[in-house]
Amino acid sequence: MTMLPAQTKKKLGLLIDLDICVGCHACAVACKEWNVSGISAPLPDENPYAAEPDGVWFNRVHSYELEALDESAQPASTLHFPRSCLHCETPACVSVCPTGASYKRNEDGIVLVDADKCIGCKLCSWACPYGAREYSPTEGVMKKCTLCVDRIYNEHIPEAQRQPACVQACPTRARSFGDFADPESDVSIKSRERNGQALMPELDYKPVNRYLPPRKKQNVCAAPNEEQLDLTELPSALRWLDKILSR
Amino acid sequence: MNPALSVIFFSSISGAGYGLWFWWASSLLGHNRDFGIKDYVTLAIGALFVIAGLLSSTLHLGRKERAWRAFSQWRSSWLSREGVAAVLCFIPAGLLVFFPTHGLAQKSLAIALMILSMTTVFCTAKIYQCLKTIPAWQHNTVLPIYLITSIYTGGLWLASIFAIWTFAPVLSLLALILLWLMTRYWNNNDQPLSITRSSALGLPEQRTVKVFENPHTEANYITKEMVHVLARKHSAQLRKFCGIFGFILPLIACLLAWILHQPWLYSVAAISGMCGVFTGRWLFFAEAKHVVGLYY
Repeated sequence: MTMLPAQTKKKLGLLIDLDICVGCHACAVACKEWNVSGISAPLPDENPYAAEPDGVWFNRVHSYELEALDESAQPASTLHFPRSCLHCETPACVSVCPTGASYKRNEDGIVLVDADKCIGCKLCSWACPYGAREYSPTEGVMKKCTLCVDRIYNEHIPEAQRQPACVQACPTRARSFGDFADPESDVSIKSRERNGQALMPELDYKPVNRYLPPRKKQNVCAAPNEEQLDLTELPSALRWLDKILSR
Repeated sequence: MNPALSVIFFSSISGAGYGLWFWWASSLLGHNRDFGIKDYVTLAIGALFVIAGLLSSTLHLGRKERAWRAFSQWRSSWLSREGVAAVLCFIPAGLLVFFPTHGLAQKSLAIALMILSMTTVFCTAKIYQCLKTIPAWQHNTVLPIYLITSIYTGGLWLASIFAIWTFAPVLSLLALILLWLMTRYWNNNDQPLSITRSSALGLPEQRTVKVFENPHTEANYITKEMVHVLARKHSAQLRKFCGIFGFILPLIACLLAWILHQPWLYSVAAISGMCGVFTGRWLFFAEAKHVVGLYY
C-alpha cells in the first residue's frame, strides 16, 4: 500500500557526522557485504572484473572540496559525504509507486521495497532527490537501503550488533543509529546540539536522517604575510650586497 | 534524464490515439450520424495508436509479467491512475462498435470516451509534473502541453482520414498555441536549478563545493538514468527541428490543404507533426535536470 502513514510510532534513522567522516568507504563496503545476502538480497554486480564494472550499492561516499570562506575565515577543506536512503517522513518514492511494492512501515518508519511486487518501472528512483534507489537489471526490480531491518531486530545476533552494518563498521563513529521520534534519544540530542541538517529541506520530503555539518575551524592559521625587507635597518655591507643583487 | 525511447514513443503515439478518439467522439455529438467505413477506420487507428503506445510503455519495465499490479495504487500514484484510465477508455471505445446508429446510447458512449481519453493524457502529464526532483517539469505549461499536443496530433490524423476542410484553422491555431507553450517551457528549462549543492549536502552556509572524488569510478544506475547530459549539446538544433516540423510545417500544410482542397496535405501535416512532437518529447526527458545531479 503506497498511502503514507500519518505518523509512525518510531522514526528510525541515521545521524551522520560530516565533521569526523574520513571517507574510508567502510560503511559502503560493510553495507554491501551484509545486504548481498540480507533481506533485500542479492545486490548483484555486472561485469565486476571487466572494463566497466557496475552494481547495486545502498551507500555511496562522495568526496568534495570546500573552498575557503572569507567572511567567517574558514580555510579550504575536504568534505566526505556518505549518501544513502534518508527514510523520509513523506517519501515521494512511495507515493508514486503504482504497484504498492514501495511502502513505509507504520511501526518504525523504515521505507522498504517488496521485491515480489515491484515491476521495475523505475519511477521511484526518479522521485527520489537523494539517488537512494538503484535498479537491479539482473532481477528487474528496485533496490534500496533497508536500514538493516534484518539486523536491528535480529535476536540471533548479540544485542550490541543489532544496528545497521554501516554504523557498526564506521571506524571513526561518524554514524549513529536511533529513534528521531524520541527527543531524548542519543541521535535526537546530538542532532539538536550540533544543528543537524535535513538534506534539500525545500523539497519537503521531511528526511529522517540528519547530517551534522563540519564544526567551525577555531584556530585558523593566518595566511603568511609577504616578506618585507627594510633596507634602512641593514648594515651598510648588506645594503651594498642588496644593491649589487638587485641589478 | 535518460530519454527512454519506449516511454517517449508511448506518450506521443498514445497521446495522438486519445486525441483522435477525442475528436471523433466529439463529432458524434454535434449531429446525428450513422457509422460509415471511415468511422470504423478512425476507431481502429485510434485503438492501434493507443495499444502500440501502451505495449511500448511496458517495454522498459523490469518485470513485464507483473504489469497488472500497476492498476492497484490509483489512490496515491498518478502512474497507476493513468493505467486505470487507459484501460477504462477501451470500454466506451469497444462498445461504440456495437452502436453504429445514432441515438442516446451512442452519444453517451461518445461523451464517456472523450472524458476518459483526456483523463488518461492528464494522468500522463501528472506523472511527470508531480516529480519535485525535476524542477523543469513543475512548470505550469507541462499540463497544457500534454493535453493540447494530444488534441493537436489527434486532430491532424482525423483531418487526414475525413478530409474536413473547416478543421484547418482550428489545427493552425492549436499549432501556434503549442509553439508558444513549448517556447515558454524551453525558456524556463534553461534556468539553473534553484536548489544548491550546499543544501544537498546539509551545509548551513552557502559554500563553493567542488567534486573532489566520486563514489564510483564508472557510471552507475543513478548517473546513467538521471545525470544524462547528451541532449544539452544539440538542444538548440533539436528545438528548431521540433518547432519547424512539429508546428510550422503542419500549419502551412493545413492551410494549403484547406485553400487548395488537397486532402493528402493533411497527411503530410500529420506525419511531420508527429516527427516534431516526438522530438519535443525526447527533449522533454533528455534536457530535464534531476536534482540528484547536484551530488555529481
